Parts: sequence; structure tokens; C-alpha cells
Amino acid sequence: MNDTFSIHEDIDFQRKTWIAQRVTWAIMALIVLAAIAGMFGGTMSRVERRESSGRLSVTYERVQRHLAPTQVRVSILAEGIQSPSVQISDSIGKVVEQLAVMPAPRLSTLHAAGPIFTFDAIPSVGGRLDIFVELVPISYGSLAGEIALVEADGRPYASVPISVFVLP
Amino acid sequence: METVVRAAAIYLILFVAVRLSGRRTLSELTTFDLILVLIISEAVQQGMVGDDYSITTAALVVVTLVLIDIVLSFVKGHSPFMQKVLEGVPTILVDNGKCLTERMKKARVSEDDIMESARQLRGLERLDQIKYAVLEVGGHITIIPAEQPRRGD
Repeated sequence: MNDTFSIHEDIDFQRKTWIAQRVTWAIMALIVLAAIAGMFGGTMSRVERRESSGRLSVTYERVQRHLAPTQVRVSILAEGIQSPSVQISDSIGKVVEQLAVMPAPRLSTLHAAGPIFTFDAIPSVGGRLDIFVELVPISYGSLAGEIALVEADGRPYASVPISVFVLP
Repeated sequence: METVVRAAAIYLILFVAVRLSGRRTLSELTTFDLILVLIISEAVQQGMVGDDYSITTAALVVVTLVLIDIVLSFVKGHSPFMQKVLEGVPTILVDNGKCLTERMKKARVSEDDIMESARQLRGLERLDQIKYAVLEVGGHITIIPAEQPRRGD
């Protein structure tokens, strides 16, 4: 400390601060790399889950963010099915806001196990029907459920479990 | 409750990011710093209010942030240690005309930065005219000129 006026320097504390800064910079770089790798959601966290017989597959983001819109693609092998019906389990349905289902379902039904959407079969390449569901998670944390193909009476005959983690 | 938590969380994240990014960041608003300030303010706004644009939420956010500021200034006033943690400490970078190069490197301050401050603040031309150059907690550099020899000494 200078004797003509006081500079309240604390070089030991300052050295510790410099170390803390450099650690923080490294953490920031890791956060950005993790984001690029999809750990905070986005395209890089998309996964596809298939039902064993191949009749149903679901593509979705494994890590999602609270109130951020996300799209789930449900791909159905619609050949031979007159009016395919897709059910989103209630454990998912009650913690998301559904914005849009494309193509628009012919019929939407409330069911104890979750909402059921019935579509007109649309001819497509290889007999597959792709349904896009825009969702907005309104809850945090782990969400687990399933998306299923169901009969007219609501009994599932093919299902895919899905598991997501919603960040705040 | 969620509004208060959001506002406090954003405040904490911004505080840590700016405090630990290094003092030179944002100390003087260069073009890069101005862009950063503008973009950061836009990025955090939605995080604080979510999709709620009510006057009530806006008021809660303002009150929460102001209260955090008051609490922190109270803490700083009563704890010298917390004042150091929250604001940092000044650091001498030039001592009697001699650059303390290790400190300058850690603080990311060059000799050119010091001489710019010396010219701007004191009209000094050379390093040996500087008694102390101090990197202050706000990120700016203050210059204490060397004592001039008296005529006849």
C-alpha cells in the first residue's frame, strides 16, 4: 500500500479471482459445446424410436425447454388401415399444450388413457403416413409416456415409449 | 412465485457472467460491447416474463430486481469480504514506471491500454512519467503521475 494515499489492493484475492475467471471461461466453453451437441435441446437431441414390427415410429427431441415449441413426428405404416388412430398417453398430454396436429385429424376423442386422433389414410410413398404434432411443454423435469396406434375402441396394438427431459 | 424466481435467476446468471468475464469486458462501451448489451437485454427479457405480458408480472420483475440490488448493496456495506467478492479489488499494473507484466497479462491489459489512459487523463507521453497505473473495479484505468522534480533540485 502506498504511503501517500491508499490503494486498497489485495493481490492474493485478485489472483484467486483471475483463477475463478479462467475456470468460468472453461465452463462457458463447455456449455456452448454441450449446446451444440444437443444437451440443451434442439435438432441435435432428436431421436427416433421404432415399434418392433415397424408399424410405428416416433421422432422427437429428447431434451426440451419449458414453453419452447417442439415437433413430434409420428410415422405410421398405414397400408391396410382404413382410419389409423393415434393416442398420446395422458402422462404427456396433461403437461403439454398441443398447438397443432398436421394433417388435421378427422376425429379427436378424449379417452381415459389419453387423447386419440383419428386420421383418414392418405396414400404416400411406401404406404407411410407422417403426422406432425406441435407441442409446448408446460412442466419441468422428466416426462415419460407413450404414443400408440389404437383400435376403434381405444385398445393399443402398437406403441412406442418416449422419454423427455424439460429444462427450465 | 415463478416470476420472482425467473427474475432472480436471470439476475444471478447475468451477474456471474459479467463479474467473471473479466473487468475489461463492458468497462468502456466499444461497438462490440454495445452490441453485446443490446443482445443480452433482448435475450433475457423473454426468460424473465415468459409468455406473460401483464403489468403485474412486469411490476413483479422490476420490484424483484430492485430488491436484489438493495440487498446486495446492504451486504456490500456491511461486509468488506462480500464487497471484494461482488465488486472486486483495484490492481496496480504500473509501479513507478515499471510495468507489472504478469498482472497485466492476467488482467488482459496491454501497455498500449495504459498509455492511452495516461494520455487521455493526464497528457502523459512516457511510461516513466507514471507513478501508478491502477486497474479499478469498474474496469477503467486510473493514472497517478510521477512527481516532477522541482527546479533547482
